[in-house]
Amino acid sequence: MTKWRTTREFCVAMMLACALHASAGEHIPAPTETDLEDLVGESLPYPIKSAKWVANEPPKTNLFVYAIQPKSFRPEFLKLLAESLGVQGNVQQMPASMILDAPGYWIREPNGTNKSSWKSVAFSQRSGSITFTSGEDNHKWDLKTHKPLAHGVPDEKEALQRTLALLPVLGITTNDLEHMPDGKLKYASDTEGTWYNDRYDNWTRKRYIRQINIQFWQKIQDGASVLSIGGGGMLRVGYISEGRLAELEMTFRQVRPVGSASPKTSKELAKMLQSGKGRTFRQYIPESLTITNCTLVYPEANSYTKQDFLWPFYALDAVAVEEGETNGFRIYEPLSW
Amino acid sequence: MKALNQTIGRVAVVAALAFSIIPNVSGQTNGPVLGITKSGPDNPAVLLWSSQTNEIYRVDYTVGLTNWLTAIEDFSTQGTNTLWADLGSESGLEGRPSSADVKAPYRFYRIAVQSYMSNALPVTITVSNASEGTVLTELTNILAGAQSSSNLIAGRLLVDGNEVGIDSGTSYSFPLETRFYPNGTHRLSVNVEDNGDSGTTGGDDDVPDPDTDIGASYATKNISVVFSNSLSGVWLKYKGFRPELGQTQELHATLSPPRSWRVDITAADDTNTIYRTFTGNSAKILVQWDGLDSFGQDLSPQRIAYVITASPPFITYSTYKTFGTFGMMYQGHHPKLSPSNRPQRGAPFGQVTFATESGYQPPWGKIKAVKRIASDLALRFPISGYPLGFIYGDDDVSGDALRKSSLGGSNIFNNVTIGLFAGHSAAAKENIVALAHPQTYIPIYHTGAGSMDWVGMFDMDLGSSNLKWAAFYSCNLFRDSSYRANGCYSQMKNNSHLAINTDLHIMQGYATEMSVRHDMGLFWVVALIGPTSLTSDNTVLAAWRFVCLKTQPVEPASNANVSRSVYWEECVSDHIYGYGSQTDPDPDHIQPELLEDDQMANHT
Repeated sequence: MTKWRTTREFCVAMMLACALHASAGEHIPAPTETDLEDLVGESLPYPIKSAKWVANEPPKTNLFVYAIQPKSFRPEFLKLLAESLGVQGNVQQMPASMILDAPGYWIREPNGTNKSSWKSVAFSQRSGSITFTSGEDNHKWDLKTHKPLAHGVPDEKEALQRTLALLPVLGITTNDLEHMPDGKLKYASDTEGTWYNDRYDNWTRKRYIRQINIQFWQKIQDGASVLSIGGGGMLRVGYISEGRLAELEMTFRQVRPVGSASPKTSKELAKMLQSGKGRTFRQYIPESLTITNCTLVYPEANSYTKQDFLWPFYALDAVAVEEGETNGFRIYEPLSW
Repeated sequence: MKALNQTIGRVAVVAALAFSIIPNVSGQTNGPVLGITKSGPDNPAVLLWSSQTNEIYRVDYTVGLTNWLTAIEDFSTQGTNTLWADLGSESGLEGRPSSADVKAPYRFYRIAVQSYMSNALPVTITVSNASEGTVLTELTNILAGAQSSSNLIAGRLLVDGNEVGIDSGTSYSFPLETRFYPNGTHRLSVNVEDNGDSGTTGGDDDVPDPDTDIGASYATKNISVVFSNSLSGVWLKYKGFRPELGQTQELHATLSPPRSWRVDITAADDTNTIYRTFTGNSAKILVQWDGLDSFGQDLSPQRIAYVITASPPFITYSTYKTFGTFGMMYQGHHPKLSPSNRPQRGAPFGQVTFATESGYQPPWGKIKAVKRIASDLALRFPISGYPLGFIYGDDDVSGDALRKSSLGGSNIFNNVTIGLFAGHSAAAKENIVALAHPQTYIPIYHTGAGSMDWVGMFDMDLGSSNLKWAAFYSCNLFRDSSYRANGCYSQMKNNSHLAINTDLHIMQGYATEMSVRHDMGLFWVVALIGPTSLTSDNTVLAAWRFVCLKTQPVEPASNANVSRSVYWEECVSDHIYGYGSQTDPDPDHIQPELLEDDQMANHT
């Protein structure tokens, strides 16, 4: 008998059960080849001769399939968001020429000194994405001294705190975001920079940081992760010098459970690898692998791609030692649905 | 491509006719028939031929019966009869005026069977909001879907055989502006395409078979609908208008009922900036514009809006003059097993090994997406003011086309303004004797020769009075030890052995492995020519960053793909010509002065 660890977990399970019951008989199409290529890459090029499994057994519960739709926001929400982010102007229909995003709404504040740049907040009805751009890319380079001028990009801690403070403005809380198995909020950060050879320091290779980005993922369910391709299921916020907000993109989708998938055991997954079944974004996969981790993921495509369902996949993290080098790989295995 | 190569020699000429009218091909039993109708002097010629359900066609045309040119190829059957209207083309190396142009010369056409589909495509196509006889007006959205056990990759909407929209997957939404067509009956065709997988297990091979997965299959659903608008048949003679070549722009339209009209020629970004105005009171609108403003002055190259005010207003666009040319080379047909020859290091050493994981040596197999990228860009660049200089694919690409002239190459990227290569590339691990360091390579495969020709980074010399921006949508051309083992970018740069010279403003590629995605061209051109919701300023650097963000998958950070723009310091804010400012670099620069912007794809 299933033991529910918390009341909340039980309630979520009951809601899912009700939803699944209500949708009994709903047809869940399998992903097409195009879906698979977009979401989890190409088929393995050949069978994996040796797949040694040292990871935990694959997750076996809560293997739901979800129907998804773009989120919808009212123009009034965009206005409030613009005020919070310091964008002046009225809500307008996004021009049709913005073919990746239109139809949608946006508020655009022209830059007084640079005609080709502006601040804006936008909502794409096509994708459900919310975006902000300040029009600044923080390329600050002194052409006379050949030195970088960009300074004051926040560190990770400050950027994280500022992003958390933005969540209410975006209409979400940390409960809407993916957490780690230990209960901590899952996030990632990276910096964008410019490399150069410092002519005043013996042409030493250096890098100046222009922007720091914080990334969160939409929570689909406990124990599973979003696998984001091109920003799907992701909140990404970037900061530049003096801590200014440079850009924001949130493509969270409305999810509704419509069915469940059957689990696979480690033996079954290893057998699939050995028969050449599986997909990867890597062009090369060694013929001998050690599987070190197995997690449940829901791939989400970029904001331009229509996606009707979230299908669960096992993400297999693997290593291979070849000619003294240890290289990491990732292979995705579909569940049965 | 294998199927195509095997069958292209068996071209079957179905018919060759001058404009003549054969009203109906139904019931024909004596072989294939091609009929041509032209419902009015300024309406396009419509070709209709009896067809087989497994054939893929090529339409050729000629004016003098001596020089046949291809109007369209890889054109799939629409069933037992196939229809195509000759609306002309501005893509390709030579334009072809629309057959609706009364000044277009008489043409002869022939239909060739270019190839056969390798598999029948079992599919059910539905159009949910239009059926036989549906009357469509103004801007509408055609909703369609397809169900199949095969691997469908895309659906297209054709109006009278001409593609007006493409959508991915199996659920389609096609915006259709009906005012671009004459009022009356038109054929809507929803054409779906699979991925060419041989489909032995319900159309979803787990392991593609390069010997059997040879070419896409298609299926089409046709419906006849009626377009009905008070303003109809709006077309521009040139979407890429080039008055500097002596062209006169023409805007055609029909009003029903006849009434007064006004056409303002304005800046595309600001329709209050009016360059010329034409007015009339008639059923037919014909505006002939010499490209000058109302003061008789030439305009700078830009995008132009044609605002038709005849209640309700309607706007169509063209570019004005050209901003440059676009050239592309791609290779997606590499074999998987042989040839396995690699570049020579120089005596007394043998061949290099490559840094893309130790066991991963060439050849590296097919890349299906590159041909789709090329097809997409062949349409997008010309109507953005960049006519095609060339697009060479697969066996039409040679190593010498990439090599610098001092090595006997033709260096053809230097003939265009923007160049793109899509395919494989890789970084060698060992020193090359002549360079004293490793370098990166592009493998050029030729089917007939069965050999791989390796073009090294230092074998290229990119940048000329024409070529300002060059991009490589391929792995590891700038492989950098900051992200991956055995990177050699810094050594190439510090020894001035990168392919960028001081005429080239920006060279772009990847510092790691990357995924070649079919929709790269869409993201790239859209971000080069205008804003996106993420990039208000459409710089060349921002567009390459955008492509990385939108096309590269999420992987653990240690595996994340990294795109790179290599540029001279003055060029940081470069826009391509026609879409913003740019700065020529100092010719005295040396390569160690180059800057590099990197963009890491989102990672976990």
